[in-house]
Amino acid sequence: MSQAVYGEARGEPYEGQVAVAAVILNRIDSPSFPNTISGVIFEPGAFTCVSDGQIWLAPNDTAKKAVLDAINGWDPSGNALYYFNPATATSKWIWSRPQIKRIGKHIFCK
Amino acid sequence: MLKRAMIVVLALGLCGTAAWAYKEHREKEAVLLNAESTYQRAFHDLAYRVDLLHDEIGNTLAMNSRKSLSPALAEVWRLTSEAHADVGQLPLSLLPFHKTEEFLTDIGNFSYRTAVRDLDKEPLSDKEYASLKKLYGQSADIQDQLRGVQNNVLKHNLRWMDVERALAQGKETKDNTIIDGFKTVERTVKGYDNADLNSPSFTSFQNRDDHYEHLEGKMISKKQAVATVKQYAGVKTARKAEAKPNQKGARFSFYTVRLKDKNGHETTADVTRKGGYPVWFFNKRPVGKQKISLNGAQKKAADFLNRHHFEKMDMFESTQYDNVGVFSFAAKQGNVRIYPETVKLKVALDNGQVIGFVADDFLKSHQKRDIPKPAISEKEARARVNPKLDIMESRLAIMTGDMNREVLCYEFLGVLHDETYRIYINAENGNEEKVEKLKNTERAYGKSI
Repeated sequence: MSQAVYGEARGEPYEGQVAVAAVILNRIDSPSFPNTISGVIFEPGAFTCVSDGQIWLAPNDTAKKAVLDAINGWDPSGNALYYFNPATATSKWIWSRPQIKRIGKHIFCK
Repeated sequence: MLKRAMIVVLALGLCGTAAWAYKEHREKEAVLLNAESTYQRAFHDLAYRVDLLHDEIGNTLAMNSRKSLSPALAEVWRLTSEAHADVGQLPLSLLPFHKTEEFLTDIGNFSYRTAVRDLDKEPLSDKEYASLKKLYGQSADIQDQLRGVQNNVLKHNLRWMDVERALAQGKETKDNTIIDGFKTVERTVKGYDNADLNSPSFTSFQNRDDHYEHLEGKMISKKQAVATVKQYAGVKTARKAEAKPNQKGARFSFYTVRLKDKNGHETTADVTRKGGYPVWFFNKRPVGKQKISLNGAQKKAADFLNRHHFEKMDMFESTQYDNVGVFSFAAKQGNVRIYPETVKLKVALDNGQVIGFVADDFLKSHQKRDIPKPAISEKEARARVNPKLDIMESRLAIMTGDMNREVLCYEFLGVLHDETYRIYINAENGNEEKVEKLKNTERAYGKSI
């Protein structure tokens, strides 16, 4: 899980990394997503870092701490189920989701 | 002579390149086929399981005795969870397919609830029977449509890799049988009204307020939000401070506050606009060498809570990660511990400062509760606990039981085979509500998480 957070959000502020981890956990709780961590992360097309292989980079300590904080209940995303980087997002659909907040380069939405 | 030699060398080179390219092509093909096979497998599994699901729901309709009904419902539950997992393996994330997934989850929850219930004491109600009948019809529609797609896939040798490519490129207008088929399924499910599956008697989180509507207090200004965070995070002077309101999709309105203290370390927090309660904060300063014990840090955490009007809270879990202690506290009403109302704190073990705080659960569920008198005594409850357990602690507690109901329980903390367990016995009927194995207090960072 920390690999996914590192692959997706390294270079983001710390709370942005916790938020990405929180989104993974929120998806597990949601009826519309798979029910396991690996199910959510490896859902085809769900996370770009899985598609482009960045998930296999070795995560740093910050990413690991961010995951622990998310597991312990910190959710800076405001219960988000999606996030995207407006500069690189390819799907139009993602813009239609109600947005909650922006952390660093990512917009988090429902 | 030289010319001929050159021609031979170049020709050999060309052959070599061609051979290499062919090999690469074969390897790429193999990888693609491999990926395609996983998709195909997930798809045909899905079609098959929806088939079975429909049949199995049909069986439950025809059954009458509890003995055969419960296992059949459990089978429905298993099938929905497998079908759900199959959907998760298909490249559909860019295609809205959520309603179908929710539909599967709803059937799953419904069948689980009825499967674990004692159907002799509480048989299926007419309403539940009607729901089941409706589900039977609905699953038939989905089965039909999926079969249609499956038929096309097999007949025209359609590939999921093409679906993935089409979705990734956003060319959804292009005629694509698979995409269209799945869209039809989604549209069909959208038309279903299954509100009765989640009838009020089963409402999850009945005492939870995700939108923080019960919070008391006035709307606060940005300035007040910054002041609150400064006070909580123990930042006296801020070099830089800003507060940003949330965007439209949030479940309650809040300010996100960012502070920079005089050393340039950042603190971030969300503060509710109504009442100005901090939902969470992080102080992102680096933590130095450990100077105080976990125990000392616990006192600091308790002091912090007392100072900020979280009085009478019980510490129930502590963990240490590197030089940071993490503590969980639960609220108390009278002598009853309220587990749904928890806050967590991170304390830096170099100087005892609270560097993290989260009160989301507390804010969602904090309220004055009518706690009923326990119907059984602690002694009676104790008799229900596995006699092999060595009980160390006991108390009354409200916890979140199965189906997310809040239940008044006797909580027993005990040791069995060197592991510590928390066991909850329902104070009303003596049922064993939940058994929890506690994690070891310290967890190494080296483990993969």
